[in-house]
Amino acid sequence: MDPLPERPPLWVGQRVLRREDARLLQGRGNYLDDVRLPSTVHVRLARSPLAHATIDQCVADRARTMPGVLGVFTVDDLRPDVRPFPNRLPFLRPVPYLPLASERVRFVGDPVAAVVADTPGRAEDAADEVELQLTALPTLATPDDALREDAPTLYAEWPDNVSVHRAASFGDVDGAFASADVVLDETFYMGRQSALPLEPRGTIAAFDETGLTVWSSTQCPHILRSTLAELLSMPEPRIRVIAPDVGGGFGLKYQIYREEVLVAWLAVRLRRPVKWREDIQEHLAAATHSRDKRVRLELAARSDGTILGLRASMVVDVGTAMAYPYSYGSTLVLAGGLPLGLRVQNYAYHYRCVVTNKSASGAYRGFGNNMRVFVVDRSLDMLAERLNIDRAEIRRKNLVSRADLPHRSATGTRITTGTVSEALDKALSLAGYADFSRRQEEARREGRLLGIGMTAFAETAVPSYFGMVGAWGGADSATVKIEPDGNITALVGLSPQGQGHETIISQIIADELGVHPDQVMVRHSDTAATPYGLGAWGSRSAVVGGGSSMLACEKLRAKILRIAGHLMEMDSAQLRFESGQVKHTSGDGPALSLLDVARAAYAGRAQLPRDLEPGLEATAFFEPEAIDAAPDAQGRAMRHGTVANQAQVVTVEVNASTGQVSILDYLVVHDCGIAINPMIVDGQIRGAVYQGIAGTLFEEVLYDADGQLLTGSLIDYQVPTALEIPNVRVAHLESPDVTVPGGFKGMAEGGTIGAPAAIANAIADALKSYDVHITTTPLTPMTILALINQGRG
Amino acid sequence: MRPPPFEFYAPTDLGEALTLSDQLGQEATFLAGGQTLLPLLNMRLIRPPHIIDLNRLAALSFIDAGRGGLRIGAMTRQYQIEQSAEVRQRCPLLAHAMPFVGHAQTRSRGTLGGSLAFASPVAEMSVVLLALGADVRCVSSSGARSVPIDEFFVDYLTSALQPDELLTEVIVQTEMDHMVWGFSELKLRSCDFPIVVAAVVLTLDDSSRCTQARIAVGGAALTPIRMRKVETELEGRVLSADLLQLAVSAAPAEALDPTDDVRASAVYRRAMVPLQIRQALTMALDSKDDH
Amino acid sequence: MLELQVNGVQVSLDQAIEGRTRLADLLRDDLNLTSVHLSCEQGVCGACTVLVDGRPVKSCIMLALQANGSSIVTVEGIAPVGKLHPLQDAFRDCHALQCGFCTPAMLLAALSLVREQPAPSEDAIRHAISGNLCRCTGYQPIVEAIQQFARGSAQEDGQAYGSAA
Repeated sequence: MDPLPERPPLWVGQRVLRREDARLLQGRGNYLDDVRLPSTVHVRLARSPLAHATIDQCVADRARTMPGVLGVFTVDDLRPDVRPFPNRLPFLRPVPYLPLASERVRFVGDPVAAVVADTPGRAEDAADEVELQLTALPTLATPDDALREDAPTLYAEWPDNVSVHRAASFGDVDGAFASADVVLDETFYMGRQSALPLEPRGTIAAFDETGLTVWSSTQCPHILRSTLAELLSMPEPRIRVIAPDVGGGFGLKYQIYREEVLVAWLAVRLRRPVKWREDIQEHLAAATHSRDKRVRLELAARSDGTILGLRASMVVDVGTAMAYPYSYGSTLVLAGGLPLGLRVQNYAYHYRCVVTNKSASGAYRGFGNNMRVFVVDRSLDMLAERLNIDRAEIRRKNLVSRADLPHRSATGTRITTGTVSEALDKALSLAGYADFSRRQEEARREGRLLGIGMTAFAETAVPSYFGMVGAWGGADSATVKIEPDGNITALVGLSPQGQGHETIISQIIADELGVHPDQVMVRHSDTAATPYGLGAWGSRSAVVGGGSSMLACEKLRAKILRIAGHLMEMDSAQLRFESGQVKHTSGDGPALSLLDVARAAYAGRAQLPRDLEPGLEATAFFEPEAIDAAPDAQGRAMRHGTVANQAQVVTVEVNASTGQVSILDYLVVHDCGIAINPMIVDGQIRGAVYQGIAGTLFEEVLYDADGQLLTGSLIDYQVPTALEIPNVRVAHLESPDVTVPGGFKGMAEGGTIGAPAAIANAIADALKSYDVHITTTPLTPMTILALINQGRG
Repeated sequence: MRPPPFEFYAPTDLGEALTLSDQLGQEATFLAGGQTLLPLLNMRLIRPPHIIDLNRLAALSFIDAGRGGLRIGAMTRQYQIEQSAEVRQRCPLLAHAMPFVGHAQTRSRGTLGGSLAFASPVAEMSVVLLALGADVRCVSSSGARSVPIDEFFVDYLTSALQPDELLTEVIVQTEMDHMVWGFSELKLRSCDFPIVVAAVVLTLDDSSRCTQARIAVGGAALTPIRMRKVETELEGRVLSADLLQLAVSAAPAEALDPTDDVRASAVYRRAMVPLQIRQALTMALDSKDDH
Repeated sequence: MLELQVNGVQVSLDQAIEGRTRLADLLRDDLNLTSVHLSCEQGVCGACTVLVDGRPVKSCIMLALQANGSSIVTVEGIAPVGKLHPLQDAFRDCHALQCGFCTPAMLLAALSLVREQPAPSEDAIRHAISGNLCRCTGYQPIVEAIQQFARGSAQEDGQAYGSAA
């Protein structure tokens, strides 16, 4: 299929206002807590107050007799009916876990008992009365604790606390280091974060003779269904999963959680609708965390600034690793993606994912890319300083430019179209980089510390997913139906949490079928209604959701022409379907409308060619062809469907007395190929930048040496408000992807990916006279002041 | 995250409230604006069996600028103080500082009395009143007394209020005509309690000599405190930038005992104290020329 | 027994209401006004903001029984059913919502501001919504929407929402 439209699109590329908005604006969103079923009972979990302990006893006698309580359940109750979460990747050590803690608790917040009562208040009252008798075990508070020789193992079956360790080498790394003029050796760290969608997690399940129905605030209803089927030993067709309106996901709601399985099991057990909704403290303690990676990067370079080779050694704190499908995904992306966008082909990595007494790690916007860009971009700035080369110049020497395309990274990611280096140039120009030294010097004379920082990177999207059958893939689906009245229903496997999928899919289909978007009704997030989808994550929705919709429309166009040809008594090869009408290619003669064709399609065989079945609908599954089925002989593989790119240039002022940072200018230049809806693209960029700023300057999940969560509420976990976040200027470049229908490249994570690098680089620039060494985030005022004071000394 | 069960009482006059309090004793908690208490209740960090709601005591909600001073009733909402022309005229420091308290929603319900009674070491209102000088009226069934603000904050989250007492009003007698004032605070985010907050009130004679200095700081200790050493440096001297520098340098010698928590370390707080004092004093000095 | 006005309608609830019922619970569960969202339940995120006697209030830290005699406005009450208030229109125009979870509260905080300050500065707008967290938009489009609404309603008589306000 020709990936780019033959005719100029009417709707793709337009700033179409979202159809999702009216309902949400009027307060008629239907989020999980708004779903009401008669006779619902409520679950409250009794969770461990200790980070690591054996469970001696769970005493629930008092709780069971409290008003409104239907029962108190522990792991022994569900063990006969519920399979353990499976391990999907053969090279990961299996983490044996069930929905409730068994024998041991392994993090503060680990759920031990489920209390079910007739109201949420009474469930909570009873949960307070559950007595957990625990004997404390030594805490594995950090990876260093967990890696010590004498450290107890978090999982008795494991020989140590490493869930996976891998190493790989590409090109001639030793040769590169041997011939280098300069070698940098720095260790970087990014603090632990929570994605913290504003709507916490929640699940409702109901079971009767027809089967199990589950509502969950999830990003992947089909994967949830498949997982429930497997763990509850129930056929998939008997399970229906619905994601209602989801108040933000950002990757956190892409995992399948123990609580979701627990609620489903309780519904089967109790034969009443069961509802669970977490509160913010549970969310911060027990939903997945992310980031928390330490990377040592050795960088070998020539004296002209060209990078010859990279060696990266990584330690990732994955918490308990009780995350499904795995806690390992972002490490894979970090390790495989480090040299992305750079010309250098000599690269070696080694990583270990280490388990500790913290909530398990999972996906969060950026998914390992944030760390790789931070490490590379801080290193580039340090190299520039060491060699006395301009920071922009050193990037031009090393970043992939148009002249290098098509390019393959050291680990096999192919960039076919893109503007990695060009986006940087545009961003620097728009940010006034050339003039900045003068402004910086002027400010310095006034006693003000200004700094400018930059980053330019390639942004992979549409990752392959190691799914239910144990193989990598990344497809999604759409069924497009033209109804008897000529209007269109689209059933898509996508599952949005605010990305505007209904709007963008309607734009795509409108162009494909020559109708108005208002004629296209998009349904999603209900496994009983839509074909199988892998969910919204990894910036994939526009590409695979859009792609499968377009392929389905292509099938429909072929059928439309055949039906029209039959009705018009013309060879369908001489007909053209355009702007909702079928005409002879010459443009002369009669026209048939889509409505005419639809009526014929549903009238039956009388109005159709002999060999054509009635109806006018088509289903398509689409997976980007760029994804490699397996690595090559050198171990390189393209694991993503598309590659976008982005550059950020940030100007800051640092207050050397308080350590506070003001962002004076935030500029993003973005290339996502064809933008379906520029308004939505800009919205995603700004939202992503916001979360990047939040993680770089404000937020960190902190535990103490006993594994106690110090940031257990929103007073301590510092989510920035409107007064802390600047306006973001956005400019665009467009290099369409030639391998996917529509030319769309997935996007929406770049803003978060680039922020730590750009902001840290700007802060380092502002503080260059203080001789500070910036290698970690977050950069809170306390941290910055400490760095300044160290530097002065 | 729902509160544990409790009995709720909504008295409509002060006498009824005090009688209830006497009857229920230690088991009862007064509820004013609820902006601090209700989050604690939601998180089940407190579990009072009885709650006496003060929001129906209309007689405790007033702003009266008369000869006896600026009197503000304990149940006056923070937004009312923020919007009051009388407060702006009589006590501009108070009006200036109020928008820094929490955010709009906080000030819709939060009260002056509730804030003072909670005795947070970093509450803007407490620090401002300490800089101004004020009297806090405490009433029980057996009588009433006035506690000077300098004696009102006893310990961390502990005021001079006795268990059977209710804070009914605050009286600021300070006439601000010959005074300059300043206010400064450091917050990590707009919605936080400040890390450090400073308020200064300086009385000047005709030759800009400081005859009295009151410098109050929150975040330097377990209660809001006066910075006596800094005050001493200022009193009797003509205000100037150099004098400010000298005075601020006395700050570290004060008995500082800042808290250490995940938001800010004691080291950081200690470093921020002289800075906030300097900024508040600079604000006061700069305004001198407007007089 | 609880008597209050909600979105212009007088409501009498004669069932026993537990002391611990929050205003948010009453609105969501007893009156089915699910535009009121619960998130942090500790007064930080603002997702539960409603108007009480014209002022923005976090309904998760106000007890239902305290609302006796008050006038409450939720987002359901700011425009006739099926129609959008000009502020809602501005939000849509400016793409000021994505997942929509913070949106009802944002709208009410904004209305409250513009009512008091018909021509608010950007700083005043950011202050007014500083008690409302959003994880999706980065706040900028929300600020722009409020500015657009303020400019637009400067040309009208400023009458915003139903009789309840």
